[in-house]
Amino acid sequence: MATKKKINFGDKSSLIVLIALIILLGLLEPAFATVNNAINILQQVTVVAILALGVNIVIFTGGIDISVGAVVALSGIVLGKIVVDAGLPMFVGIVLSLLVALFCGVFNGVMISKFKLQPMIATLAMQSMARGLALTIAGGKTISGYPESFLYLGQGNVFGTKIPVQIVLMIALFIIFHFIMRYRKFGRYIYAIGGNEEASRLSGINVDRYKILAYSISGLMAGVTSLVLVAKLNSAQPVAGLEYEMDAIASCVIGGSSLLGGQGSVWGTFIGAIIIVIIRNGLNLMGISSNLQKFVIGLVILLAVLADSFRNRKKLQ
Amino acid sequence: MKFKKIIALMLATLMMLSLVACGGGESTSDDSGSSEAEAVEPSADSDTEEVSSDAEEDSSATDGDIQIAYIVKALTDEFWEDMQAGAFAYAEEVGVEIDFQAPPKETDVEQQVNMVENAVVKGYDAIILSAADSKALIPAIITANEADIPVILVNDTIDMDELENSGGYVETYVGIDQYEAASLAGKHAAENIEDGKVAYLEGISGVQALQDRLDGFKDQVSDFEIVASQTANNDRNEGYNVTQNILSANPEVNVIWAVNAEMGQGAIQAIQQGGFENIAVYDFDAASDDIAAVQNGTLTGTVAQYPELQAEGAIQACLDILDGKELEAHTKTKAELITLDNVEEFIANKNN
Repeated sequence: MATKKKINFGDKSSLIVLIALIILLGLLEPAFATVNNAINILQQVTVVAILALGVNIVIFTGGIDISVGAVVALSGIVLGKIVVDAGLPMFVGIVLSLLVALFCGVFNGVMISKFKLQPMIATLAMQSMARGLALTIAGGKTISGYPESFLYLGQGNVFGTKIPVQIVLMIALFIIFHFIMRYRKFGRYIYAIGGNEEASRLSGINVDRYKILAYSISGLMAGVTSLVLVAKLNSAQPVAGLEYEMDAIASCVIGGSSLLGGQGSVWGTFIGAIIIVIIRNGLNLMGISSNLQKFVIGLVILLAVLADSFRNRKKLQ
Repeated sequence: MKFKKIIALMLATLMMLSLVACGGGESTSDDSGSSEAEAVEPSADSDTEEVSSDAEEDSSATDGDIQIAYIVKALTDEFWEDMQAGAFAYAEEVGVEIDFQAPPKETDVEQQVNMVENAVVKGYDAIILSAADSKALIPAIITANEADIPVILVNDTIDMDELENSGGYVETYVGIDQYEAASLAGKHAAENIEDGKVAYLEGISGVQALQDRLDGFKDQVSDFEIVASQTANNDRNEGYNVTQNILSANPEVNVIWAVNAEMGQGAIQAIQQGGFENIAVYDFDAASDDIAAVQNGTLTGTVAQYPELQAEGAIQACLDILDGKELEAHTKTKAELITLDNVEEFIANKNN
């Protein structure tokens, strides 16, 4: 029991909203509460959730990263060029595409911490640069035709079971990040910087270094997301990941992370991502237009931010 | 205090969802309402009985209760709206139920994949799909195959070889032959324009249908000089910008082929604002803007592909498959080049 209590779901309201949503959709739509659909939902959440995991670290520091969607496209195209067009081994493609994503993150981090650019502006620039590079390198074309063994990551099941590999990867990443953010020095410093950057600096934390690390992780996770997405779709597209950063940021906010930094949890973000996917899935099953889905997700973000602002106001009083 | 907040949040969510559910209901009842209203309007109140008996007859024509998921690429384009209207009208006529869905943008491939997966879980009787990418939808189609749900492609084909190699199949592709349809415009250009210098506005990459349209035109005008060939991602604003750039670099252009209506309209705007003359613009879709443009002479020709007929063909294909009939790999629907010569006729037919 004692260990159970340690798991921090941030503010529990997101978990309660999730449960309420599940019950509600289950009542409204008979196809919703089925095992197949549950697996479907988890499969559909992997891309958003892994992306959000990286962005979350940046948000903990009080920053923002809106370049991740474009980085997903860029590293996917790099993978396609290397593996499909140049015919090099899969391993080389994976490593290089992750390195490209990591580099984008490091670049963001250096611009923000060393050159004091505003995170929104620096990552906006990266968004445009990465998208432009992806389109240029790909020549505007989709690259497809990957080896079976790679597609396994996005389409296969763990040997002998019906559990998709991508879900296992996602859960493993969340467990690792939960551990790091909660129990390692790195995690505690990230929260501290988000809580009060000046105080952290004065108490001897190398703020710049940790900020660069945070953006690097965000970039790297965009690279991992890209691998899953390419394996899922068997194609790398230069227009992939358009506006995915919005889903990722929304997951963090709905999950209880404050855009002011220093607050929230890895698990909260996971729940936030599931809430977004469940809304889409549920409305989809009910046959409701995606135009309206966008509206509903916007409304949920608004509610989450309002809840966050009420919480903060109360703390100040 | 905290409990109160949670209750408030839950209530808000509940409210929102019921609002959405109502919204959805409203729009479908709106559709049937408006078409019914048209039927009823000329006659008096007492005739409502007739209408309802009509509906009964229709539904008894099939075994009723057939549910079809109709998943297209977006709803941001008149073409898809026309297809949706055609689909609802025909569905009502033959007494099937359709859920018409689309991701917010044509580039949201992943979301379209999710929609197909969701449709499989929901267990529709058939899925009609207009694939947003020629390869990415293949795993989702296979999922539907495994669940024994027939898949019918409409308007957009996919990479059939790859589908076959992966062990999947579709019942039929309902739509025009994109290549043939585009060659109608190409032929017209080849016959009417001397010393052609052509600029191509390509569509979103990786979409087979758009590539076929490009090739179909190109092969007819092989003696034209290709001055530029760039994508404008099926978007009007991008079409405007790209055309503006092409024309400022190559003012000698005298033919433009845009593979969809939105880009064609963007090109026309750019030509007018730049004060260029004697540029023959051809585009694809025959949306209402295109028809107006053909009438006032800013658009030389537009290829009509009758989305309503495609929707009818696709729904009919579902019914045939569910009846156990075999279908050909390609169920062809009508395509036609609309120019100043036949535009009035086209409008008259559309209004009927």
